[in-house]
Amino acid sequence: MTLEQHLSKHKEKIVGKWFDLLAGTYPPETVRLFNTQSDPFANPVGHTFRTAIGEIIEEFFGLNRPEALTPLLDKVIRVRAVQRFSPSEALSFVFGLKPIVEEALEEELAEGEAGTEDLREFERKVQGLGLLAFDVYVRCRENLYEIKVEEIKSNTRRLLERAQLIVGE
Amino acid sequence: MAKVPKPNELELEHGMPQTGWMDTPTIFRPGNFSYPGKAKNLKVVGLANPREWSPNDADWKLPADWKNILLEGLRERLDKYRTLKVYMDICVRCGACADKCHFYLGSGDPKNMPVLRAELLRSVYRKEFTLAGKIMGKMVGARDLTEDVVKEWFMYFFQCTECRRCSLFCPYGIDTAEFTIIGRELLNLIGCNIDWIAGPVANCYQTGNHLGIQPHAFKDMIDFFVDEIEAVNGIRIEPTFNRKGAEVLFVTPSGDVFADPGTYTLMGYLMLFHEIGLDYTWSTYASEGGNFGFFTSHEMMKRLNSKIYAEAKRLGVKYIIGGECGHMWRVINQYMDTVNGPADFLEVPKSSITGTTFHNAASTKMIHLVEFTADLIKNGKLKLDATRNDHLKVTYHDSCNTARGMGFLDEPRYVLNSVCNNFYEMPPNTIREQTFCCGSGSGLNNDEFMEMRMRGGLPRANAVRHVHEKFGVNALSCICAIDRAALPTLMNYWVPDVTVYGLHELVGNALVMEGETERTTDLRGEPLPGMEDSENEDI
Amino acid sequence: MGIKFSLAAVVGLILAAYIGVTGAGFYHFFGVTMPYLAIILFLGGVAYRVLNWGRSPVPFRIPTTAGQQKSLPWVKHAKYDNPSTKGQTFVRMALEVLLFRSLFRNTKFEAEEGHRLYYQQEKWLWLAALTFHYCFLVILLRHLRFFTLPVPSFVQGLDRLDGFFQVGLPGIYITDGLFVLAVTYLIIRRLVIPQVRYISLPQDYFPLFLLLAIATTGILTRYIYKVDLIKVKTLAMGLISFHPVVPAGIGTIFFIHFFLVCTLFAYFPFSKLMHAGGIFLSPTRNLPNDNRIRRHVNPWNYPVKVHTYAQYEDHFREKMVEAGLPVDKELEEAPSAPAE
Repeated sequence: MTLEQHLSKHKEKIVGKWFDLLAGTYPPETVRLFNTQSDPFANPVGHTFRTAIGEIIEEFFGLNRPEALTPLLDKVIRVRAVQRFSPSEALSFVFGLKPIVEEALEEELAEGEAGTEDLREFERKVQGLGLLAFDVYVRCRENLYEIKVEEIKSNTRRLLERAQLIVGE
Repeated sequence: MAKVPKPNELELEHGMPQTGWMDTPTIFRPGNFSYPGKAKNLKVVGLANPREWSPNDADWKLPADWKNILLEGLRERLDKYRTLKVYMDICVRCGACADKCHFYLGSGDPKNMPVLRAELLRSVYRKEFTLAGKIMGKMVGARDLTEDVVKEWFMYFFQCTECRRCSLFCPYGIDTAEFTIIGRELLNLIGCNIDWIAGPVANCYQTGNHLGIQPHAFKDMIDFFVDEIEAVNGIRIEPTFNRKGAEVLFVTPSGDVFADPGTYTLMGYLMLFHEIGLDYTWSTYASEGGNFGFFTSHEMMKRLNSKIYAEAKRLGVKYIIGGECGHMWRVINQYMDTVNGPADFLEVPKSSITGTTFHNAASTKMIHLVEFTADLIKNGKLKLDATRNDHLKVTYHDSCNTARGMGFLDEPRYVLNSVCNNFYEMPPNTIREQTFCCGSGSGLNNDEFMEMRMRGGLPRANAVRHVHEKFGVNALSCICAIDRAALPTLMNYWVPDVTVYGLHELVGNALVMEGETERTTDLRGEPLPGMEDSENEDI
Repeated sequence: MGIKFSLAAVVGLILAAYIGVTGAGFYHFFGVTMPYLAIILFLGGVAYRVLNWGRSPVPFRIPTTAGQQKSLPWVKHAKYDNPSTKGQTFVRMALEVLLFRSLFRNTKFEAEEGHRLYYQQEKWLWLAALTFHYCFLVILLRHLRFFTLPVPSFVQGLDRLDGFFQVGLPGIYITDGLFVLAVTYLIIRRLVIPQVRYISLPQDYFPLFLLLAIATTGILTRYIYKVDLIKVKTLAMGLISFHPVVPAGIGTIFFIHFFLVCTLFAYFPFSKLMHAGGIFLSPTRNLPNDNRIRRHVNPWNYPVKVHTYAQYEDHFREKMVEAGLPVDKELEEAPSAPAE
């Protein structure tokens, strides 16, 4: 069995743990909301996280295409980019995937079905995911600054236009 | 092999400190607070303690007897507002409101749960005004009023948009907006306010509108739109200003005059009034429907609102029409007649075009433009070509104020369904009386507060994204000037393919005007459906 | 901390009654003094609180509108969610008080795409709250049989209905069981939902523990340590006719139960239990949304400093004239504009 096959065997468990890790960065009162409220509109953050985490794992364990992963990571990171986290805090969940996978594969590793080489290869992939996440994060923050400027402009756009017209005449 | 680190060891910050809320410190960092009110703006309207300061500073330069001022202020308000007094005592902390707040849903910060926001004030009330609190202290949820408490108030009363969604679900109708309004009023007594509110208040007071646009410039701006409309459909509109003897005074938020996309909504107003031949006038003195005084104190709300009736009286109009705005309408519907009435110099509004009398405004004598338009459409007085909005798949955002402070739900939907063919509702628990706030209301739509706004607006954006993905919705309509300023930004971040429209912009698009040239574009200069190839050299 | 404190307080109360009766023999205190004290505190306290609330005026009419306003005749008006008359408001309040409508608003019974029910938690809260309050009411009314002679027929009827399921002897009251269940749910909910636990104060736990203790001791007096009901009735009738007597030989458990009830009554006006009265005074619910129809008067409305049109025109006259805007005073007749 390849590492991919081992991983897909434990996929559900990994998704669950990864979600818990992500949710665990919020206050316990909020975690409960994330976990129990199934209405996507009454629980936008929890619902977004839960669906996105599943989709990311699906793609990451499968084809692992950056262009497919980017919008999926964006779903999670776009939320975290405007929350109270520092950049490292916002993205640390990505690297949390390594120990989760390692733990999930404990048996296979012990029985020699999966080797440390496989694991190292997987860690390299996680690093790639981390770099991708970094790109996404920065794009979200850039977006935030762009919209600030855009908003200030449109708040007075007509005045500016008018002023320029007058100056131009 | 080395020991595998546990997942949480990698986390730099795991959740929140496991402390009770009273022991959790308030931390100001860029993005979670608004800049403080500038001294010059406070001086214009005579607000207390004008000074230069920042929430980041350790010393907030409070007046020497700040504590006394706050406690006396609280005592006075307990005697003046039954809401405050009753709501101090009857909350059972059932938690029904907890997950109803958009700021809580978006930020996860427990102090954004409405019940805790109110407890910030209640805890001090217990300590100072109840026997149990004096004796038992923290055991009964009482605490001293300290500077840290003031900072906490400042943080969280300016992280509430007074949207009242929590109040809807509370079994006793406890209204967190009352705590926020009165909490801000108290903070203003010691000079703790934000400039995005203080600035517009000062401008509005002296010059008549939030941006401080002087009368000649105001007229100039409207004339500019007259040119734009002529470019779109060849009709020359001639609005009048400060005209005595007009039948109707029209008041709208000044955002419609200066800020995109409100400007297009304003063109819609101009076109509509012209087409039906309404005898109306603009006022440069009462050129602001919005009322940031409402976000300062009840008194300031009254001071700014006074201009509307005063101007109506001076000009001798029969009644007043108000444009599309949220908190402006909360003030008109729930406060104006009480604070600045009675408007006995006006007549019960009667549409001269349809003959309909608006009995629901028998006392205020002020009607909402959308109810006026709905009546026109119902009576077949408008020629509308809804296909001109066929390039849009529209959804509708209920503004919190018109929804929960008025119950203005079906009139805008009726108009919307008359002017466009593709209308899709967002999920039921995010619209009508359960609508989610844009996240920027009550004077919080400033750019330094952007991160909080994006968090707070997430529940709304999430519902828009749902209809965007499900039905291909690309237009978000609304009847609120703050929405028109804040939602484009919110969409830009969360659902970039959705554009924000004021309702009367869509009316303006669909309105077939007497003597118009062939329309090839909408009010934004975008080609109309089927006109994509035609030249629009006019624009 | 709050939980332990509240639990300790209730245990303390039970012990106080136990020791007071069995050890010290303070029958008169627990049988006569306490109930009179409690009822005085209850009536006086409730009256004081309600009058005190009522002393603060309602300056503004700010109902939370939960449906379509009264508008043009062809727009369907949500009469009871957004009332425009006193009658409609009365119905809204009745729905609120009798059915906890706002709390029910949380409830959505629809399922989507095979998901679980929405808002499960809130549905249970509504159900438990409703069960709790109605059982409490029925139990209170049932107790009228101790204070009336002859016992009114509706009390007898209620008694029969409540004890409809003749299980064991004496028959089990349905409300007793439901009451205990509902209170237990409310306690558990407060403990296990982190959000609610986070906001809970000792005064939130105390009444729940107290009520649970009252229910438990009440049930014990009926089924386990059977108390002589005739003697209890003698005591009750004595109290109500102001000729108090404490018949000998009523079981200790009765005094514990009675003491806890007295505590509840005495505690009631000084606690959040006053929400029972407060709901009637809640301005976001008990007023019609008719501000634009009828003027609401604020008793303390006072004049404020405003920026008048005259001041405004003085300030901008020149610019207004130049822009062709009409003015009240022409340039020549007005004093020169103040410096900006």
